[in-house]
Amino acid sequence: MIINTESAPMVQYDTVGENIGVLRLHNGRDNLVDHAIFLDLFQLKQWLNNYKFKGLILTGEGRNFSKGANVNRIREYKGCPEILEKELNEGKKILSYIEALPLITVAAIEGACFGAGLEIALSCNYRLAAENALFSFPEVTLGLLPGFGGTIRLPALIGQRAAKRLISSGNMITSEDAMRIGLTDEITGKKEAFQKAVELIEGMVNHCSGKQMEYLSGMLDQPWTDCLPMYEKESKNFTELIKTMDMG
Amino acid sequence: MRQLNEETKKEIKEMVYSFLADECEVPVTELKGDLSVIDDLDGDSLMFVEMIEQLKKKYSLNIQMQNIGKYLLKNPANTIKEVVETAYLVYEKENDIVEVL
Repeated sequence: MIINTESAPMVQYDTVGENIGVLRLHNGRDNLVDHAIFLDLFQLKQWLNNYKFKGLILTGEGRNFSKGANVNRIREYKGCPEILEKELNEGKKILSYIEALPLITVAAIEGACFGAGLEIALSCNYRLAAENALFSFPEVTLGLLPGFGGTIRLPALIGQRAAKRLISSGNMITSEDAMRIGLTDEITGKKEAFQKAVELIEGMVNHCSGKQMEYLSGMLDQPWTDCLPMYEKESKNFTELIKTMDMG
Repeated sequence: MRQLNEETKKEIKEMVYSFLADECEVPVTELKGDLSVIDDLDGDSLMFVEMIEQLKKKYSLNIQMQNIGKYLLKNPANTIKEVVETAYLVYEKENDIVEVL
């Protein structure tokens, strides 16, 4: 089943059996994130209410998870950064919602997983990466910093030192490097990340009832990173930086 | 600098063709040296990085992506033939490829 609406142009909703929902990023070959509000949160909530999933997979259509934000779109906000700041804060509510879902959430990553795409993947419990996957926060090369939760979720996941290095270098790393620094949980064969994500969820939910999952998630998925002032501060920093992007 | 013999050249060329055929979902028999990876095969620049990663593993090469990136900025590999030649150069020079700039 696929729903595609005007309000959620880059996300397709799908299912695998009865227990697993799939959010598939879908925007051309690169799955660029054109808009911080990359899906309709109300619609997502309704969809999840209609199905009693135990797991949710985020993945990308085609050969890439996502090459990140559409930089040309960001440039359009140079004259009105306050609008972008608001949109970023709204977009982060989507990620915080996904992060706190009482489900097992897995990002199945093939190809490029850059910038905002990586920040979306960071909202999941697990990241399974195909052997050909590549990761990067390229914002620094544009005079920016990650602005979609990356400066908060990345250090929470891999530690402050490794996060600072990845963000400030703008370097691209392989799935092996990502695994080494704790950014990903498993390396899969090429084109196998999605199937492995299904297997991971199925293996984990076999022994848990819906109620058990809900209680467990209630204890574990209250993200200590879900700190609104920090996210708002990140949005403010990002929108300050877009005023001077491309200048150095 | 590594010596590139005819047998290894053949292996690398076959590896490049096989990789591109698989990634671009085109029969390997339809690939010709003068085809553009991006314009004719609908590929993208990251495919080259992935391919070099394969090459790196296969031959235990000491090459960093940043150095390939620097080289490609000055010497873009657009056609299949150029991709193969760059792969030869990566094999021979490894990280010293930046000195070829």
